[in-house]
Amino acid sequence: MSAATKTVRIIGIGSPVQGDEAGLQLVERLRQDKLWQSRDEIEWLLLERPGASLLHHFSGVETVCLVDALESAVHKGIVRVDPESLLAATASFSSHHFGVAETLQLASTLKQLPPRLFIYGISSGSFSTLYHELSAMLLQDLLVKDQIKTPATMLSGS
Amino acid sequence: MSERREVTINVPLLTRVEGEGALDLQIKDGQITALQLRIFEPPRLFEKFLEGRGYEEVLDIVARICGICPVAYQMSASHAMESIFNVAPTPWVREMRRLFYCGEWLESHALHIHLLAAPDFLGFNSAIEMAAKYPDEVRRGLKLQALGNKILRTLGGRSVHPVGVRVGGFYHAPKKSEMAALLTECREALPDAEALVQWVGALQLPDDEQAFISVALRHPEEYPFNEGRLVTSDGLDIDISQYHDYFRETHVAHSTALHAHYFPDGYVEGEAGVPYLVGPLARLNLNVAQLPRQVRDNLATTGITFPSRNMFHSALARAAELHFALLEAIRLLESYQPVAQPFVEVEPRAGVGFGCTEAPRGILWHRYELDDEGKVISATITPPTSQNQARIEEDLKNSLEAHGLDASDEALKLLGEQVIRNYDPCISCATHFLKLDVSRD
Repeated sequence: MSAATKTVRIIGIGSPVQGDEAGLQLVERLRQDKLWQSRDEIEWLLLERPGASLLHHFSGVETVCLVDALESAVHKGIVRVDPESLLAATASFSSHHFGVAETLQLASTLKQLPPRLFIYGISSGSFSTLYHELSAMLLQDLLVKDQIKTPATMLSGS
Repeated sequence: MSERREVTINVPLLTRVEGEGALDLQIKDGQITALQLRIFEPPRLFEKFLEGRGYEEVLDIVARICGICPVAYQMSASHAMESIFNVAPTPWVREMRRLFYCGEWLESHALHIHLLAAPDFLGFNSAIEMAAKYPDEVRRGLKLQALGNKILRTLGGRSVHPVGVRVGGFYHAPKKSEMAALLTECREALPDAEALVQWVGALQLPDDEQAFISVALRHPEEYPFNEGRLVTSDGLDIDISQYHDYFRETHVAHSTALHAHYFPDGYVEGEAGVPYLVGPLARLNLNVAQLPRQVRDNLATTGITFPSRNMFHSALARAAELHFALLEAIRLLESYQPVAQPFVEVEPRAGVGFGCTEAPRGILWHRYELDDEGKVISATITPPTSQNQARIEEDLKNSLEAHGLDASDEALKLLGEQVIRNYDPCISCATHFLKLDVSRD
């Protein structure tokens, strides 16, 4: 399948240093899994500290899935993060700390959010448990085609 | 008659800067009695990490110092190692290193102008607020940033912490078709870069004339990236190996980043040095004649001339350098031919070497001592933000006093943050940003 027919982009976000490697490692593991290798419509991406340039990866596909570490004292395992909650979050705005929330807010203002957006936060847990939880959530979310996560007013071209 | 207040203002965490710092300001009897750019991000100890590492590991380690300007760290280290091994890069390597640097200036300058600095000049709290009213301008910034990142990926394998560089050159030569596609994109982006200079020139930049010393590299034949002699606006002209004869870093209690000072008559222990400026404005002040005719003509139409003593003309200098970087990238890509071996073989040997290149924020000076196997015995890395810190504190004092210290705490805080952001400080590199504490006793 050519790149032009990719409809889903799964993006692992993190850094191999500073203990922020979980998003990168989980997505890399998914990419190598036979279960997921058969899904030709998926483009896999690993982005180290992308900052605002994450926004460039929202175009050209119908669905974007972001996998990033979650700082939480209350959650465990993989947590589905509602994009609306990040759009309403207080952002910090520095280029070193231009994170997912800030990028989503900028993309929303510029009407460049993808039609379907799923965000998975990685909290505490063993790699194996996290991997199986994430894989199951992705399977469920990507099979439910009518689950529109992005308000129509924020879509690119609207 | 204004009231003589005694006030303390604290900005506990500066926003829209790289890294974590704060500004503490004390005003007594209408005078600033204490002003400290307090950098509290923990020291990162990279120089110590490098000790015992082989020369072939150094470039990948120093690239980790910064996600915005990793090329600068790789280039300064490459030149230092190559001087020890007594090898000179081939013309192909030299040109590709300039192209690599074009990518870094494009992405870093586009990011700072559009997302970090422009909101200050247009009255917004953030680029996201600004994007609602200026969507095309913000899109332009993101597009130019993405183009810079693409150049970095093409030569470095990835845009953040690239891995394509080795001592002596690069690990691979991009295919001609890849470079042809990049050339097309660069040509298409040229109107954006030209318009950016006009746009920044038309912004209501504060009138902020100050006396300061500019320091930058100067090369006889080109606008500096990788090579040149160190020159200052008061006439110093030295080899990069003489840096420590005239510039020294010292520790100050309120900062985890070292402060650098300039000693015009040569460093003498116990004597006081003076603050100095590195970065786009310093570079342009010292090298405007080296810019291509197109950039100088474009700048001239803004009505703003260089050299300039207005610190806020840094924004225009940054835009002009972005225009230059794009033109230079086009020039280099037009003549690109792949080579079979994109590097020079090196043989490790013992010695001391120096590297000094122009990071987006100013000169980045490295010194390495290697043993006969090429392992690092000692490393010294002096980033641009360390060099600008004393100048930032001096500028803050001048700017706040010129503005009037009877202004509200909120107004002083905002001005303080704008002054600091104007330097595009990279605190993470220097820790080596901003919380403002203003104290009025």
